[in-house]
Amino acid sequence: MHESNVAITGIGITTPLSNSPEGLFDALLDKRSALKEWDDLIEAGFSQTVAARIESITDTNEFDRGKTLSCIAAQLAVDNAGINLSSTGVFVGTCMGESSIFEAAASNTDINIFEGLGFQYASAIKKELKLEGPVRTFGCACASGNYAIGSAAQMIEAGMVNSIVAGGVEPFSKIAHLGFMRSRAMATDRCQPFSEGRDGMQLGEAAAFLMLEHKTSALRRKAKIYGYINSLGLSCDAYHPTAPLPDGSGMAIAMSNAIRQAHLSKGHIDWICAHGTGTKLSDLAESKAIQHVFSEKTPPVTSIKGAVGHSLGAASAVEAVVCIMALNHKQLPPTVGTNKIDPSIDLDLVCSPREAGSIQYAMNCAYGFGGINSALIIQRP
Amino acid sequence: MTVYIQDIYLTKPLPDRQNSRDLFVWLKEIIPASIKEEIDSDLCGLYIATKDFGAASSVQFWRDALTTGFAFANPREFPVTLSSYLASMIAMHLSIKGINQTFVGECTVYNDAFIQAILDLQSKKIKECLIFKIPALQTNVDKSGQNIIITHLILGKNINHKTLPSIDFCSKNNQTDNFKTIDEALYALKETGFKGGEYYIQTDISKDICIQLF
Repeated sequence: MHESNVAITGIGITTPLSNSPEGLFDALLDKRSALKEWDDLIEAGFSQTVAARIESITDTNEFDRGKTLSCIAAQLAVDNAGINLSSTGVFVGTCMGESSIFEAAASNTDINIFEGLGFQYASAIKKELKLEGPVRTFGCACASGNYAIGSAAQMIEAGMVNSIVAGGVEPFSKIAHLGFMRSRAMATDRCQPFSEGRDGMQLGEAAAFLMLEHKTSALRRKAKIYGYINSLGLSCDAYHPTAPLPDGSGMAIAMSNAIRQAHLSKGHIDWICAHGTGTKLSDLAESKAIQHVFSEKTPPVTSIKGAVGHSLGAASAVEAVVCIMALNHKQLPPTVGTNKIDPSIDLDLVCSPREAGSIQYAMNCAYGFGGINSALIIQRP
Repeated sequence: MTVYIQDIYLTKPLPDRQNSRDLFVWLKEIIPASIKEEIDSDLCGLYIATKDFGAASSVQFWRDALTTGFAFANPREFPVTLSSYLASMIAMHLSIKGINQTFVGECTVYNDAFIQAILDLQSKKIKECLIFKIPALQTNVDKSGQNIIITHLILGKNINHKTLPSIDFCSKNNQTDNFKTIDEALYALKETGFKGGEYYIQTDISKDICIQLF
């Protein structure tokens, strides 16, 4: 078994359900959903108008929303960790960049699209928090958060950096809303991952960051350790610009790579926080991948996207936080929105909160357009 | 195990129009045929370094949607708005099924991709990789150097490594003649025709990068 040297010592989030990890986890256990109709989407003429957006943070310039969300969440993570080392790095995953800037530019508003580029979030965090370590931005579609966290962990494990604030951010994007709507990937009613009647996803917005720190340094300063990052397994389907390989084999390779790189066996994985978008193809492919990797004894599976929507580049970072909460509380949150599982999906789907007294390892799965697959393994402290 | 630079290619810039059709045509033209024959697709990684890919297509996608109405927005163009689109298209074209990672950043973004690639090679997650530097588009961002650089790295076993430059992490030496970016070093290497020498590239982590050929 691989002993991870990458400790999680701080957590910060901004999500539609709560701006605290405990608040988010409680809301999930209560089966609350932030998905609702939005007047501005109705007025704009969208035929699908449900999304999960952060209402608690409204005093933002529309063109700075992603920067604001990411700075708030990163600051919360640093504060929670109780350190602010100037040598700390910033690793950010994002999918669309500051979409509102591109939308304004398309309407011939005099605006500099440079300010909307994805790396601006990491630059804003670096500047706001006065961090001088390495800065990276990962544009890995809907798996970006996992990539940022996994890469940061790899860098710390290799001794290249001592601490990194890593996670993901995605402000609500009308471009993405329209894109998914026109791709017929958007639910007509409610997002119901893995359910019989599922017909798509719904967008969210969020920012979530972890303070990752070398275990030696965390132990030396007697920091609270929420968990450890063990490994990030990756693969690519190389199959289609948007659809996953129908048999889920690419996703399965990412899961198997994560297990192998962590020097674990499949029996060690106690719970899977699934990508579970609620789309027909992706949920089915993911269920096949889980069955393929874990064969007859699949771990319990949860998707949280029926509760907080799909926040694209931030989604897997938010889900990593939920993994950490589940590991620390020894409870599995339910798949909000799903009551009846698709009979063609053979998974132990968690539909009500479940005690998990012996939970040790959680696997956080995320996939993106282009068949970009990731599986992050997180260990209980 | 040592990582070697198998080859460096300079290819033509992105097409002016960033749509799925033009990018597909462009892609088929720019990938040297030899790459497809050489790589082991299951154990090959793909790393893309870009400043702004997806920005111009995001603007265009929304502009078209405003013109045609949302009901007629072209769903095929939506994936092109993502910075990861090129990585997924190149992976499909070359059947690259290993790590697929897009880095977004400013002038040192190619360094970011190289650092990650070397770490992944040294930890044997992959045994070879292609690293693409995509220059900024002709938007109002910038117009610096438009050629695309493709670097092919391999892990050193079963190769005639005497003829290839090695690339590795090294201690910080803070010499003034160090390269600031790996692109500059690769241009220099390419110009010398892979003749002997050492090239040091400054990084933002605790080690620098060294390219050596003896």
